[in-house]
Amino acid sequence: MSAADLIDAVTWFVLGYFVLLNGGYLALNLLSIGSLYRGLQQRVLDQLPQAFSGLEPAVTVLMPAFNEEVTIVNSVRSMLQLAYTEFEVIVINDGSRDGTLRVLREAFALEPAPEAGTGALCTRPVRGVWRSASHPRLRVIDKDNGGKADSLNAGINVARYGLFCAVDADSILSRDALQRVAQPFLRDARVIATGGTVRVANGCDVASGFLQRVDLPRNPWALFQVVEYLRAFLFGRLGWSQLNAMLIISGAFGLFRTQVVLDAGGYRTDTLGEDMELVVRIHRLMRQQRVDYRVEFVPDPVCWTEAPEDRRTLRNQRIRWQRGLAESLLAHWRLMVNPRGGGPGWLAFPFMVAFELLGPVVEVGGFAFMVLAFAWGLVSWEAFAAFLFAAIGLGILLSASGLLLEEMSFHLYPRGRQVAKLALVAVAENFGYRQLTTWWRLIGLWRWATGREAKWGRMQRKGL
Amino acid sequence: MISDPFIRAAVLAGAVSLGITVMLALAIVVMRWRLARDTVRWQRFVDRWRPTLLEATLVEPGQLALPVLERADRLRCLRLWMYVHESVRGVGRERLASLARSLGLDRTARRRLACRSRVGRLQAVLACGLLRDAQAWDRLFSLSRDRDPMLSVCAARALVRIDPARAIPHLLPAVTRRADWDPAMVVGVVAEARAPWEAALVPALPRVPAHELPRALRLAAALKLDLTPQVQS
Repeated sequence: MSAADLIDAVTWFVLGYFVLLNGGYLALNLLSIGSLYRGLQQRVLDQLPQAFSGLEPAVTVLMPAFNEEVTIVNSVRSMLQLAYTEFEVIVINDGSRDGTLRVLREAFALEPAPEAGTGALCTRPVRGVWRSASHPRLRVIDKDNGGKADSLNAGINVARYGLFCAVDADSILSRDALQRVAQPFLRDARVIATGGTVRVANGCDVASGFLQRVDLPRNPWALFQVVEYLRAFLFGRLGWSQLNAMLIISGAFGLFRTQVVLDAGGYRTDTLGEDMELVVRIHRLMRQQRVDYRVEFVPDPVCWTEAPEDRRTLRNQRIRWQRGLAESLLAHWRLMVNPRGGGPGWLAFPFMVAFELLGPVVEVGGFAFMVLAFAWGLVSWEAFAAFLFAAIGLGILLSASGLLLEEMSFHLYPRGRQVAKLALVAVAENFGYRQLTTWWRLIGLWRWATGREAKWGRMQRKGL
Repeated sequence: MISDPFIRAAVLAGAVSLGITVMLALAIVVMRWRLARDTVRWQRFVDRWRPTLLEATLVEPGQLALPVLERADRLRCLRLWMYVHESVRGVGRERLASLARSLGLDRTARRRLACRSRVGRLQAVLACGLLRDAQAWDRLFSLSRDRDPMLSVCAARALVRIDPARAIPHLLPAVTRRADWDPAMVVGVVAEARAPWEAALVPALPRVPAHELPRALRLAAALKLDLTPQVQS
């Protein structure tokens, strides 16, 4: 094979990869459109006043907190005001070094409760369990620091109800969030986990722990993430959910059958992507045991989270996410070759490996190759320009389809100016931002491959 | 140098993407424009008609001077009427039903039971149920056997609202057999006429096939039905 043939082959491979990557996502997009359309047809029912049926399964809300002294009281108050028939809130103070436990004790009249929990999952030592004299639904676990996964395991050990909902302490939930994500459990006894759409809260008005007005952030980093979240949730997860092949439920908000998670061994504490790892593991176990099950996604915007507003924090987040992805996929690679792998094993898993895990290598490598080949005169400027046209054009198409789904369904951004701004961002993010995040993902992959120590890092929060 | 086919393929991929993107952008603009237009019309309609509907819940039928209902506003009126109807209780509901009949909304709803749009049929089923429209019985009866779970369960609820004694014998097997019916909505169907349902459902439980029994018991538990005689027997 001559050098020219090799260059020809590589350029075809890179172009083909970009087309396949974006084509795959567009196929998910079509699945999502069908699902959203069916949901929209039932909106005539949602518009009528709703009543609880009495069949709603009781839910334990688990809220790990580490050094959340400033925000924890408001967060707990908003959780206690969720509209749902039967639920409890368990805050897990993960060895905070600030006054998290103190403010909770003062605000909610906490008193020691003689509870030991089931001990079904191993966790760092629990120092004590507190219950609220003023809010019977509230309990607080105080434990040694062990990370988010360890905190959730400690919460599961004392959870009273058959479903638990893992939420971040800084998540803002819509008042009917539990009602919406519990609905699939009510409708279908095979459902073992549901995830809800997470949106970017930056720029929105928040009062007393609830969202009052939706708006776009001014910060460009956060603005780019608004479009990213639309893509990731509205057609990424919703599309996979149609195939019962959703491998990720966001750690910010997810509802699980407690017994299923206990049987699976709880959250793994030695990974950065404990939320994804748990879902992939559950898929693998269910498939192994030939259980008829479903993992569903609820497209309604039920959870809002603060997105990073500075480059450093965003970079750390993306590096962490990529490491978590790599750890989760590697730990369960057998799902892909399992004859009973089904949708998760034969579709979602290879897709994740090819386009999410290895995507940064091919994308960064492809761009670098084309730039270098052009610089060295190995490819013509026409070929280089055509490649950029295709790669960027496909990226813009993907972002635009995310916007279309939002426009079809929820119209969360009511003003025309907001939609125009999002459309501009959908174009602009393809000229630098996406390449930058791909680069960070490549760093994450490198660090995972070289076994560099994994750390969560500290997120710079402005607060909402 | 790269072969021409590569350039052609890349340009084609880019051009197709660009073309679809432009179409999506146009679709977004059109949807946004229609949404804005519909929102303005809806708001105008609500501003004019909500006070009338609320007043109708307080006064005897015939005592209210009704504004003219434009033909184009009939569906909006039906939607608002359903919302107000679901928000009130007691005699207010009867008065609202009477108002709807005097506005011809019952005829509108019956006509829409046969329309092609699923949303339209769903809305019509709900409206006919709220209006207790006996003339819609046959059509609702056939819709309650529809394969569409949402449409059929709503039709079942409408039948129970219209005539529970006639509807329950027909629906009794379906509430346990139709696994595609949302249990929360089935509870709604039963709660419409609790006593006759209890009288029919409780004696039928021992005859429910084993695979349908969990669903039936779940329903019984949600409705807090007294199963003591069955347990004793």
